[in-house]
Amino acid sequence: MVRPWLRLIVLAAAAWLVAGQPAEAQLGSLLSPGRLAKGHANLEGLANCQQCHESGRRVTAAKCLACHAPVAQRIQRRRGVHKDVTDDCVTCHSDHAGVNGELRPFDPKAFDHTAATAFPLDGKHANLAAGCAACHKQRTYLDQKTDCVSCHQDVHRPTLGSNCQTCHSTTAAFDELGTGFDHTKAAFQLTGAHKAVTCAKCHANQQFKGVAFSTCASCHRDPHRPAQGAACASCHASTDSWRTRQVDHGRTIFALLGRHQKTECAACHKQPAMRVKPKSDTCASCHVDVHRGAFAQDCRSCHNETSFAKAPFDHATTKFPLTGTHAPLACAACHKSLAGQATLPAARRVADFRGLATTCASCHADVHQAQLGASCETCHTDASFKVPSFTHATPAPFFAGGHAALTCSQCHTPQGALGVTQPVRTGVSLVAAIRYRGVATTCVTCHQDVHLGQEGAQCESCHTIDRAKFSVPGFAHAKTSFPLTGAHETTQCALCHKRETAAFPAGTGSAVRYKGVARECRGCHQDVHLGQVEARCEACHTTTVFTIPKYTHRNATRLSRFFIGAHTRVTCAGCHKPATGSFPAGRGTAVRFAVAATCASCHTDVHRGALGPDCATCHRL
Amino acid sequence: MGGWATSGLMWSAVVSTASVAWVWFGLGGQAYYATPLETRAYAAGHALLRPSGPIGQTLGMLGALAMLMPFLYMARKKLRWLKDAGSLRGWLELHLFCGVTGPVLVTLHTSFKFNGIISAAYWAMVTVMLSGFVGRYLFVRIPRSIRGTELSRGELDARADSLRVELAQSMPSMDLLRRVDAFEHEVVPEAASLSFVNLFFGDVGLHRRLRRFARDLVSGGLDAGLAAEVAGLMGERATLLRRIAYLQKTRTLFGVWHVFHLPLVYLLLVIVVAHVGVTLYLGYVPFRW
Repeated sequence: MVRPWLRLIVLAAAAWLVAGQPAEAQLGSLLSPGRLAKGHANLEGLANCQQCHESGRRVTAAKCLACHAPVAQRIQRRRGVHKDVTDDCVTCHSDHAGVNGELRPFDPKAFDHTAATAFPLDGKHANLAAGCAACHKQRTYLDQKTDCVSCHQDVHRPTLGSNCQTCHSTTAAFDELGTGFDHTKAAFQLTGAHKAVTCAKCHANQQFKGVAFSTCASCHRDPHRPAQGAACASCHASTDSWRTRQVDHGRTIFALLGRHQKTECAACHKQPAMRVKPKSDTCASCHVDVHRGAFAQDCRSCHNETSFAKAPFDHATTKFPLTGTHAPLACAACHKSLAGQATLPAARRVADFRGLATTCASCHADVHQAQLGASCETCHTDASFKVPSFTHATPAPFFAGGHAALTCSQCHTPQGALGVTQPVRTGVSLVAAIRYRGVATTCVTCHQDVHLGQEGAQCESCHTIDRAKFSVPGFAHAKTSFPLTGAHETTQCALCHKRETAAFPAGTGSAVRYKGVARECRGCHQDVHLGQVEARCEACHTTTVFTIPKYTHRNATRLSRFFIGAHTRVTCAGCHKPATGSFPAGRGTAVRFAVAATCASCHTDVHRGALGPDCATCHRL
Repeated sequence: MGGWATSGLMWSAVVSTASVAWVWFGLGGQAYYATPLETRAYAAGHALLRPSGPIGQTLGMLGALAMLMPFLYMARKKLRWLKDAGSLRGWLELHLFCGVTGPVLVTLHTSFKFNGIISAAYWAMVTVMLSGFVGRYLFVRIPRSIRGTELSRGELDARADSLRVELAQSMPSMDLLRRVDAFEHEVVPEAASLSFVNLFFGDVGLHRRLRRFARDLVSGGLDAGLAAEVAGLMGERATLLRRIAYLQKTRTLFGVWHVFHLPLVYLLLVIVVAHVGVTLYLGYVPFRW
């Protein structure tokens, strides 16, 4: 059933699979369980099997170590990672896993370099970014030497020998030798700022032997112009810093005076070593000309080294000598450009003294609002704004009497008559405009009309400026419609002219009434008779006294029979007694004048009515 | 036929699955085989599972022995003095069991490392195994007696006729018998339209149509038990008729298959012998792990 030619085809196909290789390789690959790793590539092929394999004994250590002599040595000397090895190599190593097969079961992360080798990875050697390959350039790890130059380049071009650890350690970078090298062992001790200098600053080109250091100039360039010689230490006593205060500036052409003595060196010597000689001939070399060139460069004509602000400037040399209250003023009080610049840097300050006029108004505000013109000195001096003496232009009689002692401000008041109160200067107390021009001389300009228009505008008809307190000595009541007589002559004015609040010609208000006071007696006096008698008081009374000196009883004719006998000696009050009751003017208490002519109205009936009411039956007047 | 045919494959499936599960999960094979070849020698399971290790080498030996068993089947077939040593079908089942289990064990032995020309032997083995499935497929399509000898055409026709009689007797009506005939006409190809595709996959369509036909019978009012009996007889007869139709083609293919299956076995044998010989020569002797 199986056809021979078909079998031949299949066998030929099988033969083709192994064709194309040398016979030995074909047989080797036929028997090999896999390709050898790259490291063993030279052992590929049937003829090489027994380079590693031994008949009946698999792979023996002897075969491996015959090639891997360094490992054999380490095993024998019990060193390195193989120091404890007793088993066959194949216990740990394996091949035939392909060209890229791993021959070493090695985990770099788990490998303890310190314990397994004589070269601990500490300091900068620990955690190298490139890993093992940073040092182990060859495939084998065993050829690597432990001396520094096997990995590092000797930049000293063997001038310092091979014992790098004398200066270097693994804990510091090569350029951080400050922590590694003990310079005290060197001839040149590092002090002060020298300690912080990197090695290369002095040891240029990695030259560490034979570096000159006898003078500062061995390393440092003299930046002074002119050169100050080799004795640097005469000024620069410390190596901590080039800064020094030991410089005798008097040795220079610019002796330090005043504030210059307290000025930091660096304030003038911007780069001390490089610009040690600033131009000292002009102040502007260091100082900013805040005057922006307004003055000649001869700053000393105004300033000295003591202070800029307290410059001994003689203002008398200007058009405006400072006298009086001007003398103690600070410059900025008038020269406004100086104000508010204290906090500015010098370069931005401007001290412009130009253009300031000498007129008062250039500094002072005209509180008079131009009433008095621009010639302030007519009234004021620079001693004070108070006007010491002023001759009033108004005629002399006006300033006599009570006006003589007046101060200006009593007539020239702020509200005077400008009627405004407004600030005329800022930054100072409120000063109102005071009217000086056009103040009227009429009394009411200054004085209030306490009469509220009752007496008209002619105050002088009663008052004079000679008398104090507006007394009116020249007033004659006799000229009025109510001449004063009798007791009225000595009566106080106020008893008749009372203060009242009412409507007056000048308006409603409170004033002593002078006009319109009633002339009738009842205008001032009270009617104590409560209307029992007529209104004409003068019928009985006079202005001299209220008592009635002589009275003829009314109805005397009709009462002729009454006023006889004892009745002629009785006083008025004997019959007219005070009584409380109703009167024509109302209810009250008054002497009753209407008295009945019967006896019983005055006399008491001692008979108690037993003899009747007609007393005349028995009694006679 | 079914019982014998499946027992060898079934047992091979059981043994293979158990072996793989044991190695995979019990011996750490899962992690070991996932380790790249380059570093696998340093993985945890290497000592046990490497091809020369205790487990790996044992698996290789068992696999090799399993692969030798089919030769006994061949001997049983070819050598006259072995004619009474068990039934041919029993030997075939043993052949199937070993032919499937062996490659599985050998695959574990290789630790999935198919390097070198030795892999040619492995792939030859895999090819032989896969071709074995094809061969078995063709084999069961050549009707045989219960002793494993091929049935003659006359015996086949007689069997078909007897099934026809059984069908006719179980038919409740002539109309249904005519539908059965129409069905056979659909699923059994004419001599002029035989194709290899229909040979390999026609049985799938046959069984699908048969199930549909049975459902139609039940929905047409036929008793379910009777419908199942009719469908069973129809299936058996239709299958037989298809195999009779494809008999010559099947025999031709089976002959070609033998040519393909057997030489690879010889190639495999040669390489394995060399492999084992060299291994033993170099000291990788069993039980000296």
